[in-house]
Amino acid sequence: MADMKIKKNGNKNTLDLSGELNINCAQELKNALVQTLKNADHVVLNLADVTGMDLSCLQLLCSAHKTSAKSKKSFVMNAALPDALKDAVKRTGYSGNFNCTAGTVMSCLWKGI
Amino acid sequence: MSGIDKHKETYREEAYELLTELESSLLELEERPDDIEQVGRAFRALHTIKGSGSMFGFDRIAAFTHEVETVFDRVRNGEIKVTRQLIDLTLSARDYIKKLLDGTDISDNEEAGEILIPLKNLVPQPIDKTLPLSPAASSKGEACDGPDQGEITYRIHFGPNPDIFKKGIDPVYLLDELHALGSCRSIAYADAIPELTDIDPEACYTYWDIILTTDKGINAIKDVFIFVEDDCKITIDVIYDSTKFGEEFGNKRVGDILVERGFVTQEDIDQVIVRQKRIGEILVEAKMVDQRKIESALAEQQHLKEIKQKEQQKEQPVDVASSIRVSSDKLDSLVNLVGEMVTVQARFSQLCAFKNDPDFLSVAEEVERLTAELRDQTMSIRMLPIGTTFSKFKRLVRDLSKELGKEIELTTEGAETELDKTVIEKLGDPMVHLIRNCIDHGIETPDMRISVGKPAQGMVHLSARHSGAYVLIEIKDDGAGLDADAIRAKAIDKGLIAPEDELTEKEIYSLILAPGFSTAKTVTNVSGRGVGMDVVKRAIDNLRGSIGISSQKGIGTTITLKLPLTLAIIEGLLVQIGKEYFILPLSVVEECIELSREDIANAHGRHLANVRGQIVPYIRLREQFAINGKQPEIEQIVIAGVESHRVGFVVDNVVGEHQTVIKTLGRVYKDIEGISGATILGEGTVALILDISKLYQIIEREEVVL
Amino acid sequence: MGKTVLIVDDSASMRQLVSFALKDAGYDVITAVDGKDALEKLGGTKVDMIVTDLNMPNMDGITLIKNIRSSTANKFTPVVMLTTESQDSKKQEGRTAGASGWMVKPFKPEELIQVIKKFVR
Repeated sequence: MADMKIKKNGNKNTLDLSGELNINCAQELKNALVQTLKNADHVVLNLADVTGMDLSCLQLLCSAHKTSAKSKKSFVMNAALPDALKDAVKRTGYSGNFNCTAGTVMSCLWKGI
Repeated sequence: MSGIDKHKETYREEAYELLTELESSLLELEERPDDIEQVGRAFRALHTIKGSGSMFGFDRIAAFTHEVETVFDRVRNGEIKVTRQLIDLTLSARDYIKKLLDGTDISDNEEAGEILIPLKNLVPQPIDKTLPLSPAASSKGEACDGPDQGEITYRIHFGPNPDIFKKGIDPVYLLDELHALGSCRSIAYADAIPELTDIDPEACYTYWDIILTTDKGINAIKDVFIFVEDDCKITIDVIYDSTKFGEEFGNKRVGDILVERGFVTQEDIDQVIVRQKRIGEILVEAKMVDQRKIESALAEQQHLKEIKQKEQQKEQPVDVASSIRVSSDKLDSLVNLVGEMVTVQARFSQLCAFKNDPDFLSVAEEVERLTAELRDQTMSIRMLPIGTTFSKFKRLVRDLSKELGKEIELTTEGAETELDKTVIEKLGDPMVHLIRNCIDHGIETPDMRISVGKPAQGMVHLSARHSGAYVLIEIKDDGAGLDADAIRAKAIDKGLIAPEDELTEKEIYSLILAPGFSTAKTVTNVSGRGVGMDVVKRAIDNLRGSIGISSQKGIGTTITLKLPLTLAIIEGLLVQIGKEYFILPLSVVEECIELSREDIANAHGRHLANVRGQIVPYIRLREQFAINGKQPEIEQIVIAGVESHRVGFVVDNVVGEHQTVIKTLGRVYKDIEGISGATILGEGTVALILDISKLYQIIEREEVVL
Repeated sequence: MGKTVLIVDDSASMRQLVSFALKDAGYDVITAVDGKDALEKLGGTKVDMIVTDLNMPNMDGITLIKNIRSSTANKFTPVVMLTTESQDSKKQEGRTAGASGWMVKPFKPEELIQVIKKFVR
């Protein structure tokens, strides 16, 4: 089961995600991301306790990243990505660089995985 | 009763019940022919008798019932009216099925015909007479296991229906299935993912390019997509078939792949190909194609290369006679000749450029290309795997640890890493020294290890790997580590450093490489006469390599040797001072900057340059080598990295990169400090090769004097 | 953790055969005799996979699939339909309703397990 928690701290919002993120909680994740991006200049995703992620949730992270880049918010994932997430990125063929934030200062979330 | 018999028995019982059901619904229908519900009841009974019958091996029941069911399907759809004749015939059919179930009347087919023919005549149009119940018509799987069709490489484009999740399908599972078929790479595209406000979190926006090499055949791939092929965009193309000979393959250019995929046109390629850059970069810059598509094409290129390599490896064992022994003298003279050849070729190219005759120029280009290939091939002949050296150390470790009463395990990694033969030969002694040191000073005795909570058995790990034009060799132990304080104290004691000197940890460690240094309290047989490490240092220096030391007290020490792949040819930077030419090894060069008179004036006579805020000391090579003549108004500083310091070398001009064939200097010149060799330039003049680390030591010394 | 598969078929022999094979392959099996029974047995709980016949009394397979797809718990659960009708119309109807895959009778139990493995890991 997945768990999502938003921490607001001034203009920085942190979204803690943990557990198994898949299509069954995709709607919930979208809502959480929308809330996290709202009224924040800096968005931090804490994914350290994620045990699995499917394509639908990866898409949502990409979307949130793209959206942040457009509105000039910073968007970072905490440094240590769990292996489960790295595996998911590799398995879905998401590794590498999508360049969807081209023209902004951000580079692809999955670069180097 | 065996499993299947038990299932059969259940089926028979169920079928009898269904027949009763069928009978009663038919009788109801006779009373009220328009009762749709009864028609459905009869149909379902027939359907189940047929469906389950085929599952449990009652093929005749299934085949016969299928015919009756087909007619009843039409009744259900209102195409045939319920008549007395229909009910009569269906009732006889029911009795016939019962006989089949009972196991009586196995042989007589006549009765079946007597029922089925008039029954079928009730149907307005002729209906399909084929029985879809032969075992071959089962769902899937038969055609896909064509054995050993040879490996074929496919390019698959997979664009799932956005609603695929809502059908309970995770498209990534399909990727997994493809990965299970063979060697496979998938590149996802995320450009269709909308922004957060517009995204439907339950829709699929991702699509893929997949390169798959498999011997399972195209049907196996189609089977993966069997349930989604109608809703999703799927194209499968063969891009390489190993069973077909003579196909251009393995060195496909990225541009070709992009054109093949229809991402760009050949005209686009032709337009940009005149510019000498990577085609992918240009196309992206020109916004002709998306970055991700280039990545995908590159993945395909890489995949094909690997497949080709694998194929070649597979072919090799057949070619038993493909290796011959050659004396190393012959090899050495071949290398020398190639060296001469490279030199002459450079001169030839220069002459042609001077003449500026297009015919000559094209020949010169050909010669240049061939020479480069010849050079690389020749160098590769001299390359040997380092593994043989590694295996020698196994014995050494075993004997030494026994002698010292220590338990040590030697592990190795990267034994296949190749190095120039001469480098390998000259590497043996220093490696022995280093391993001896590990065992003697590094690894503690079993008692001591246990007392600090380590396993009694110590570990020495040897590894080799490529890194650019270098090979890195690591000797790692899990012993006591270096004691920085002890080294410092010793160095002060020996007068190597002054007590007030402030040194970084790294600098302290490098002191153990200084001549006349030994920290071991007791001198053992194995090491500790203080001659080891500086000998190692000199040997590695001679190989144009360097030594790195890192250590953590109580955890272990890692010594890294960085060695050039080859000693015969290096990439150099050609510079000019007055009329003289010099070569700096390109591997140490970091950047080139200008040095104006003004800069010199600002530095108040000190040889320091300000490189973007960082102070870098420099050597004026003109003074160093006492070259006459006037220096130009603006000089050049070549900034090089030496032992983690940056140091500049002032020259008049930087000419450019140069393939440098190294010639050793004669005995007379052997002791000149700061010169490690020479090379002959294209037009025949000699250029000296600078020994950067020696020159650095010179300024260090001079600084002390200052 | 064992994966749970719901089998819906009005034929007792089919239910027996399929659940026998699935249990043998390590799945937990729930059985239902028709669509209505299936929905009742599911209640609001999520299963990992549903295998359903199409022609059944009370509630047929197509209606069952539609119901499953509009539920919360099993909206994304893979559903494989068992059918004797290899005709496209029925298959198409089932897919439009939201079926993930299909299996044409007769089949060998191993073949069904292979298909289930396409969807459940």
